[in-house]
Amino acid sequence: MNEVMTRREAETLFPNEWVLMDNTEPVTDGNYRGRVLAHGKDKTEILRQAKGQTLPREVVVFFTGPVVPPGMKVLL
Amino acid sequence: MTFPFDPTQGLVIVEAKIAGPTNNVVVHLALDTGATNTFLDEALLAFAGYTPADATSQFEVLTASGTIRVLEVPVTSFMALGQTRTSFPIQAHSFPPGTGHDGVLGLLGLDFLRGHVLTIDFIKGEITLDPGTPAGPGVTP
Repeated sequence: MNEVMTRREAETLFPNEWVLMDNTEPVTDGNYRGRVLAHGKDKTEILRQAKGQTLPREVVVFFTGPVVPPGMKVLL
Repeated sequence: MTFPFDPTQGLVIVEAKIAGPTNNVVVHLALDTGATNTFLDEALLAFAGYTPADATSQFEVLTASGTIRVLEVPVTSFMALGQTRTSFPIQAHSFPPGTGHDGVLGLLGLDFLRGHVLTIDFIKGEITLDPGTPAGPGVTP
């Protein structure tokens, strides 16, 4: 997973997953661009797994699907 | 400074950045004016390099489904909506799947907003957090 991609591309490749990406090229439009360091359905798991690796200091974590699943109501 | 958000989504999502001992992490948080404090997923705090030993306090938190106990961790630096706080107290909580927090790693609460003017424009999809003036009740401008 050394290929540099954008957040939009990651959303297409890894639908409804959590993505950990390096963030060494900060953007202002939210369309992050970097290497995908980890991805998966379980946010806790990808963060735990990535913790054991050598990572860049600046990273971004985002979910590629809708924040609230269709048809779901939320009470925080 | 104005920040865009998607007014069509079920929650108001804002970008935040937490600086930690090992990693600086950009995340998405739900803006929650019903939360007295700012909460982050404990797995995220651990990823950034914080440990339970960094906690300075422990609090009970009243939620819609009961009372929980959380650790408060002052993070080196916390940035959101153009504002930076140093030694900002974060409540560490686990946000399990299926609890309505599936796409976020925490909540941006009132403690980050107090003393400022928060403007949310659901027509334009814009949020502004400006420094306020001390003109509240009992305060002479």
